Amino acid sequence: MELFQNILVAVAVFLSLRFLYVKFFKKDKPSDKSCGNDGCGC
Amino acid sequence: MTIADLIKGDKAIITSFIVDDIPLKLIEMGCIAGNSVELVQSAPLKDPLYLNVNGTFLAIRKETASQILVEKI
Amino acid sequence: MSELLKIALIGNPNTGKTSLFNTLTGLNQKVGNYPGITVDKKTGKCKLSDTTTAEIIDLPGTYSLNASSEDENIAVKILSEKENSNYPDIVVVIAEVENLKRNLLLYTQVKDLGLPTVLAINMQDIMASKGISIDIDALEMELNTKIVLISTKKNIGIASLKETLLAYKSIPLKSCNISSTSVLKDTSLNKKQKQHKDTVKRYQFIKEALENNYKVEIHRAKGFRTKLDKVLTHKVFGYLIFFTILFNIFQALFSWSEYPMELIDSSFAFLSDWTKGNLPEGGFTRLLSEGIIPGIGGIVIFIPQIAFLFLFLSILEETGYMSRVVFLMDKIMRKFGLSGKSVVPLISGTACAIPAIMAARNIENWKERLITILVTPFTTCAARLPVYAIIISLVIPKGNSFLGMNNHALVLMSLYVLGFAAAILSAYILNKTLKIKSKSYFVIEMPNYKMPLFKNVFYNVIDKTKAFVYGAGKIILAVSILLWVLASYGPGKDFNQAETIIKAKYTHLDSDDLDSKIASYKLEHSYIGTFGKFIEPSIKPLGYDWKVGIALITSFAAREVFVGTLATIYSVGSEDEATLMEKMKKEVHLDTMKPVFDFPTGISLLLFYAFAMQCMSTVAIVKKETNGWKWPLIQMFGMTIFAYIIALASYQILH
Repeated sequence: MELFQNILVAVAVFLSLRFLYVKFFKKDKPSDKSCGNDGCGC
Repeated sequence: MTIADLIKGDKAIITSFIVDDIPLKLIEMGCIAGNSVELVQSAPLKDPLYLNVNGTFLAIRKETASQILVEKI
Repeated sequence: MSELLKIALIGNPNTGKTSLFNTLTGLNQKVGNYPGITVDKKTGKCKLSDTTTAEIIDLPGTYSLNASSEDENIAVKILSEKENSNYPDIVVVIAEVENLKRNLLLYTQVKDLGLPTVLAINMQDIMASKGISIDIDALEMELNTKIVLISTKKNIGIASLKETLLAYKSIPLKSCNISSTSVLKDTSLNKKQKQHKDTVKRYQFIKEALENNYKVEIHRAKGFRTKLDKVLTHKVFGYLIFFTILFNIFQALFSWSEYPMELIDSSFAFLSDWTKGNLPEGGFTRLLSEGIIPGIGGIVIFIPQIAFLFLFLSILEETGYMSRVVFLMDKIMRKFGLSGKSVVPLISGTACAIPAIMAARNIENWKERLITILVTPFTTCAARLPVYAIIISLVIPKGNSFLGMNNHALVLMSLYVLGFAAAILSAYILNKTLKIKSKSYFVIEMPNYKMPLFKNVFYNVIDKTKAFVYGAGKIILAVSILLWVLASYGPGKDFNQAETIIKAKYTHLDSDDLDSKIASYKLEHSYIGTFGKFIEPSIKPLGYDWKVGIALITSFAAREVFVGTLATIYSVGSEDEATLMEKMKKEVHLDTMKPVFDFPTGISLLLFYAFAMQCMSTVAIVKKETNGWKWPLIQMFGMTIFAYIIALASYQILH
């Protein structure tokens, strides 16, 4: 039971790390940037 | 005279623009030569200006308003 | 056999497009994302008949297709790329009776794209009172399409609209006869000039098309609106009214959220205890009861506050009042590098910075928008309140001093004011230092006043709340899990033999107290605890010890985690706040034997939390909205360093 629980913890940690990695480090597709109507200040 | 010179209640016709790069959005909202413009209200500090342009009620900054030439009617 | 039609819905803002979308799709709506850009993708399903269902995509409200912003870009993309999966079978352009002239600009542009285009003219219910009459048949000829008169408010014409949509194959596809090709071929003009000229030609066409088919009895049209405008934009009353409304909103916010928040708090505490007691012992059960459930609880508890604030803001927006506020505030805001349109983000920031920063999307001027995004997190968001509450209770003397106002309430209000002041001041500084060229360009439509349609308000509140729950929530949960792991496991013998060590040391304690002591010891020797001790020298000058240091670190998941962490550190079994406060009062620095949570430290902590950027969720949204790491990192380091300095100074001065 202890082992099973530890596996679940490991899975939770892995999923969290992967989620944060994707959220913060995934490269957004190159897109038309929104800069309003007055030239690009991005 | 420009839109910025209008007094509350004044009605005018847009004749032309001083600079070439009036925001396109303004034009799309009907601010083009030949259309009517009326000053509905100016904000407490005379900026922005609350206008009725060709039936559309909108507000623009004084800076932009001073680039639009009008003829009072 | 069921057919799925793809229908795109497009129209000017303030035409009731959202109402129509809501009417057609009800709760079958989804908000997604277009990859790579910050525009929401709204889709929904609608049953047109027994055999046909439609998937309706709600394109962003826009005045034209001359792509100059992300909103317009995506609309053009979807309506012209035939291979794109989003390419629709039919387009519905929604217009409304009062601004038909202007609404038709978009219509003519859409019609030119060659799709079956239906024109839905909304607000049929006010035609009589405004003296407006439209010859639909004649107009259908002029505009070469099918027109349906509807009223989303009174639910008129919807069935007729559905019928027209089902018969889409019979709609003529020829574009309107507007000599635009000559403009396109004119090589003497640059792109902008072409668009300008093209727009003028379209307006000419519209003028002629409406000449005999659209009549307005002018003196009927105004009246109520002008009178109301006079008062609401008055140079004195306008502001008074606005601030009174604002004040009342905040009061209502506080009192309305109190009960739901207590309810949610105790429910989650119960759930956590229940889980611990009823699931088999082990790492995952502990993760669940100490990390995941409190983590989710920490998100859910703010839903009442956020929902209520957006309820109020939404109502103000729906009535048309918000535009008047923007109008009143623009000149003042510009002195600080902000726009009148920054008002909504700044106010929204008092609930949560995530939907607030997203609300800055309608600021046309990039510099003003950027500054708004950068300073909004200074406003006192809901998550700071639990931290403020406990520190204030600890170090601020009870009683009424200034003007008979309760001391605690006074300090809390001051912190709110401080937040706003910091936002405005840093905006001012950023404005002077950031060398970003952008034209001061500002256009806002002043829509007619109308009674808020609660359906729309409701959907808007759901929308914004979801933004918080999913946007912030997922990050908070993920970080909570990781922090729990770092706080529950530690390097070395000290941690692993915690139980033995404590039991040997405290032979006389009962099992509950023992458990608390063990938990506290474990935390001290966990990874986070070790890190807390590591940073202690750098936070001692601020009046904090390593225990507070741990709580500061865990606050990066969500600020309110501060309180829960302290509870664990001071070995308070359950999150009994009274007990926690007792323990905190008794905490002393081992070297000086003076209390840890004295007045100087309290103030230092309050100021640190007021200014530090601790919210990872905010960092994520700023990265998204500014398309990169540069600004969120500058913001995070800038704010935190500023917080550090202020906290340092205040502690040293008061000490």
